[in-house]
Amino acid sequence: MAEQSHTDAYLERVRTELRLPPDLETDIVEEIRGHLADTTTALVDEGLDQERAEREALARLGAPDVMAERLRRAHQTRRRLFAAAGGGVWAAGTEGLYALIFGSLFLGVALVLAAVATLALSTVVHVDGRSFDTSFNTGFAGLVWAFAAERGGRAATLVVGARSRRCVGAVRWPIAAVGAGLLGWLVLGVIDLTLDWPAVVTTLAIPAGFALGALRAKDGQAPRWRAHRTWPLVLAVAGAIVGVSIVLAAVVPSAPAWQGGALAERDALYRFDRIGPDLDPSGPYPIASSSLSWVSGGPIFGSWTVDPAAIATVRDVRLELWRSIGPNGPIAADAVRPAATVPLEVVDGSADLTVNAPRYRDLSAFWLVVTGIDRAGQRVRMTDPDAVTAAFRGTLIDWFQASDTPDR
Amino acid sequence: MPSLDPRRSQLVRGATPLLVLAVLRDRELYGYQIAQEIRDRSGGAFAPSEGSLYPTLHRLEADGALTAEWRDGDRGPRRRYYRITARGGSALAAHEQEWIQFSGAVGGVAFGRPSGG
Repeated sequence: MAEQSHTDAYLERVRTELRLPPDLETDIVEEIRGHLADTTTALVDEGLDQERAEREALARLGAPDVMAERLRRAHQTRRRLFAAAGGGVWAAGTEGLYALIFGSLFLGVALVLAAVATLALSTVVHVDGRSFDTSFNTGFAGLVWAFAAERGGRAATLVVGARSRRCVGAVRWPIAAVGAGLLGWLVLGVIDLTLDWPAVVTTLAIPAGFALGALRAKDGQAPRWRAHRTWPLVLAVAGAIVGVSIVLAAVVPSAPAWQGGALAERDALYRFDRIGPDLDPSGPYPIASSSLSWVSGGPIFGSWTVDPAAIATVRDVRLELWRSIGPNGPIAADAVRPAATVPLEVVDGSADLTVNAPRYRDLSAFWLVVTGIDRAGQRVRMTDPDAVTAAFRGTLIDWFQASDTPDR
Repeated sequence: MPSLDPRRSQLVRGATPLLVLAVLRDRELYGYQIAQEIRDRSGGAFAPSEGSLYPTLHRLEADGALTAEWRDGDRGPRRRYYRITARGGSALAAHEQEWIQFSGAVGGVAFGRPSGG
């Protein structure tokens, strides 16, 4: 290896101490190299030998550390840092939005393909719709958001680095910390979400995704991300969904599902003693829900119209909330009793009440059933047990502070 | 090319942005040419410290007073040519005014001449 010249050693030292983006470092070193060449040539013309001329040219530029520090300060101005911060926020937002749109389309196509594949495979292997829990959708949507956050974190880091004239290594940790902290604060304590465990996990993945994207950014990368090789990825994700569905269908015992037929059969399946008292199973029922509504993160408001003659034959009339698997799904197999019961007080042929059901962390979907105890001492169903869904809405902090239902 | 008196270098250091902008007022130059132009215009009396010339050029560029462009040289390596911007022109006018006031004030103190204001 040829011995390094004084000029090369000087410029290498300048480059090491600059700590600027690599492209900028290269430009600066080239510019100073040209200056040294001109000065050396001029000094040789004045009569100095090459060696002395080169040393004199270097001496005029001063110590490489000092030169590098002055140049770094010239580039890393406070004005550029503030502008870079604004640019970083904008880049994170736009790139995140772009990735969110792409991710949603990507996931949509993958899910359609998975559904088609599942349908085709269902004649060969055991796989059915119930093995695809609806919370998977929440999880997938959360992953798309986490992916968008990862892209946003990466774009923010690259833009801040480039605009503030700092190498990515110098800005990635602060950006990861600030971005993840801000997003963490938003998802933990500010934004109201529909929550179940997949949603909680994937929501927490959003700030983590941002930090990951920021920490994975490297000098020389383009801030804008382009989707390459999309179709193989779509097919891979669709295949993974089908595979998971097949595995779940094989290992997870299915809850009983009412496949239609007499309501009495459904009662037996879901452990209601019987419809009663002395009612036609096809209705009409002595207690009919006339309105039912719930508010985000708050209680359920219900109003029931009651047949006074029928209600007179039962006592201890109450509303029961049975935890179910997903909206319109069956009652959960491990729910041996109602998640909540609320006495139903009938006044002038109607009953109004408020149920604080969404405060239960695991009560993301439930059945509403009005029951009473008949003269034989059996608790009987008085309403059509429509599956009614509700969701735990709130912040993640609300979620972690809530309790599970006491129905197990 | 004799080295400059250190006291002159000290005096020139604060005026480097003014000198750089002044020699770029009418034409584009690269770093070495800028240093030579200042030296020539001063009759060899002074030139900016070469160690501070490039940080000054890059600072002026960061502030929007200059723009720079790489161009291939006729024979030698490519050079980075600097050009003054409108903002640089305004900064030059301000620097000139400050310098006139400052030099007048220094003259007033040192030689008893009234300051030109």
